[in-house]
Amino acid sequence: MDSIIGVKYNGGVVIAADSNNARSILVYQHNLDKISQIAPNAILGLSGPNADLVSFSEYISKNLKLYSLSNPGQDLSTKAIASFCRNTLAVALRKGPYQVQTLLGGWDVSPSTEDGEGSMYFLDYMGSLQKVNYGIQGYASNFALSVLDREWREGLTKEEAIKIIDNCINVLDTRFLISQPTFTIKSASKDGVKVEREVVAKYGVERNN
Amino acid sequence: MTSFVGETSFNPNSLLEIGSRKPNFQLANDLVDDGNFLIPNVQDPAFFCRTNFASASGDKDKEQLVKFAKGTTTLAFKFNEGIIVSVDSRSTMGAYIASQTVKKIIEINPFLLGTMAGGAADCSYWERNLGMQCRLYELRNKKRISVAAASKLLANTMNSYRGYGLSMGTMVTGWDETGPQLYYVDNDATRLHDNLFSVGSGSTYAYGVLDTFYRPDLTVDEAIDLGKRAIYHATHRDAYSGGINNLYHVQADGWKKIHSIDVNELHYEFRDEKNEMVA
Repeated sequence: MDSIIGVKYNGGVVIAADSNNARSILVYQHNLDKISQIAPNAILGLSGPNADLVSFSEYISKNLKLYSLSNPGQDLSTKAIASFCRNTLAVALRKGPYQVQTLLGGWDVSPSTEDGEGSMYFLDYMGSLQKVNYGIQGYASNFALSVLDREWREGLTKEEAIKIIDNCINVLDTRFLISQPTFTIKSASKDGVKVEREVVAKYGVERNN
Repeated sequence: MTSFVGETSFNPNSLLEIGSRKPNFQLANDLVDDGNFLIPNVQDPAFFCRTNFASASGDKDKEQLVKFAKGTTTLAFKFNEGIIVSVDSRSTMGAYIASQTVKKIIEINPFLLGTMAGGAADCSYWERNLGMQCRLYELRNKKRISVAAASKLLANTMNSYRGYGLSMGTMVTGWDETGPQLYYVDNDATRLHDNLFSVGSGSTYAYGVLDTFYRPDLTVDEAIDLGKRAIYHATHRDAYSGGINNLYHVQADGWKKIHSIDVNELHYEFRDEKNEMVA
């Protein structure tokens, strides 16, 4: 039931995820962050059961950290991170699959452009990996992929990319049965990972922690 | 404590080995271990356990030889004066009420409480096991374990037995160096941190009352009353919940048992209260 939306722009990637933590007919929490920073310049938007989100993102990020400690100064490219995620999922598939559908966004130094460039990968739990310019995981794709098809173009600014994501969220608000009152939005660019929009829990009990 | 069989020294590459979610029984080989037990000697033990010993909700286990005692309402919430943990006491096996006097709040140690929902056997076994792990932590580290760490130990155990048909929905609560803490852990290794949870077949009814009347600045008496009422209303609507309301208050110097009240008494108490309001 989760919605993960990702858009590549000129100089980075933005990923948005709804912040509901639900199972069956019950919403446990309205403030779950489903976009995990797995490397200094990479974010992973995940959809699936909470336990799998936690164990998969912890496994990936801790191993990437281990790699960077054992190989100082040679951070993995987004493509390499995507391959590592793919391999993890593919090997686990015949043992105990991680039930995760993910969008990976990252930024790499590139010799061709001054700023470097962003790239995004679409990964499903069976280990299918595709490089994409924009993508959606979950039921949201039925409603919002057409919006991305219509609006995405080469050379978007970050603001334009977030505007497109807002258009997608608007479509979900009006047409999608399941209520997703809040979204988190994060970006990966040459400035690292930035939280573009923080989760604000509109519903539920007042929080004091 | 856990020795990794077949590994003589630390090898960073071994951490990269996928399928890291091996059940404990493949890893541990110590006298005191994480609580491993023998698994059925069949080709696919996970499948065998899942199909013969599962404790699914409702009567989905009616075809199984092994049926489980279950059906519950439990709740816990954090407020300014600590944490209230409140539960019912009914245990059912299908339409039959197996017991009306189950202790669903498990006293892990003087500072930690666990609640019981789902399979009664799995809850008491694994929370007893958690108590042991927490005690070993205390002896090794000369300080009490945090609630965060304790709940993670339980979640890790659940993770290593995923797909084996375990059934457990528990709230781990306590007071540690960081103050009062409340975690939800279940059999598919979900582990959540929040101010308010309710677990079991009656949880939706309890959430209704709880979400409506909860405030962080409840007084202790108000909080106890809310915990009591939420359980009462759940037992009123959910056939699988009932019996006695047990209620604990978690404070800085450990938990304290507040009361055990038959929900029938609560029914008449609340009925009289309403009648007085009309009169």
